[in-house]
Amino acid sequence: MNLREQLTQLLTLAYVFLSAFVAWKALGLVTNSHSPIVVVLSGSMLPAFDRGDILLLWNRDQQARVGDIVVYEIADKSIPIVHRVLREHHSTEKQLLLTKGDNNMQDDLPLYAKGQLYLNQKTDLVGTAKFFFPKLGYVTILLTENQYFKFGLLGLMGISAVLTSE
Amino acid sequence: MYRTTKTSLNQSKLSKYTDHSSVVALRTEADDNLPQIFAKLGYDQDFSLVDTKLALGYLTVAIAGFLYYLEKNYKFHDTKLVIGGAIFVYCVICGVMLFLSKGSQYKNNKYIGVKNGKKIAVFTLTESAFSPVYQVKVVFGENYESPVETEIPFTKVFDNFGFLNETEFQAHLEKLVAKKNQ
Repeated sequence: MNLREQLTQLLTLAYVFLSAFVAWKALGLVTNSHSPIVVVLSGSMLPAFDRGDILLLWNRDQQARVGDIVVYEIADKSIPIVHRVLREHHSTEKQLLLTKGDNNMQDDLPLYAKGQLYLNQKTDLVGTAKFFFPKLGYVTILLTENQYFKFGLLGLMGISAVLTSE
Repeated sequence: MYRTTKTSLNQSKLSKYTDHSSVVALRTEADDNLPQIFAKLGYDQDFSLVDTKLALGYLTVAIAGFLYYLEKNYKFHDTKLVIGGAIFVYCVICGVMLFLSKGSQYKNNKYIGVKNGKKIAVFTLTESAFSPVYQVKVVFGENYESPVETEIPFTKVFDNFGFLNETEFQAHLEKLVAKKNQ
């Protein structure tokens, strides 16, 4: 196999990841969210959302409304949180939000950064949940939480690659 | 699985076994052999189209890498314009690559060669995955309006075990190229 064929095969393989990544970035631009699709990781929003549900976010609303389910990030905490807007205060310039998980006993104040009393709608929100696909994201939970599943899947992919090349 | 075919014994050339129940596999094997067959007919392969597509392809990889770098080092809201520009350039390049693959002058192009300064472009296809007939079209120079065409049943160039009979294949292509002079 010559160099051009090898480069072409490598490019074909790269496109599997490349096209998905660029589509992801384009979706981020359209929705104005750096993470336009998130997987629900906890049961704090039961019965509305369960673990493994996939949410499609939209971050072009001028203001959030009480009752909206929003995804927000707290500084120095990498995992986004999916909770409902419980209370809001707004002026012409900014909007402040207090959130709570439907299945939680109290609001999210203990989850916020030290000294933070409200979320800033403009800077803290990743987006507002507009659509959801039940259970589709459970495979990502299995991949991160279950070592047997992760290595089993990797093994299957390896065997599949070997058999295909034969 | 490899073996030396009867027809190519004197050339010490190994012919590759091909799944002869798969039209796509037969077509791919025939396509893969075009460069060496045309080399025997005195043509030098012209890689300019392949190299252009490769260069554009790796440019899109570089753009994706740049987007990844932005994601890891800058905040999304600070780089939206740059991301938009990069995605626009990516889409334009993909459009050009699509044209170079599917445009009327490029679709199904499997080989471009040059002999004595004259260009030859070879296009091949099979009508469907169930039609074991290799359709070959040869364009001389830029004369895309009047190509020379032929249909070669795979049964004529592959034996019962799925090995390509290169001499037979070369004879068919040689006859096709000679048609131009008639």
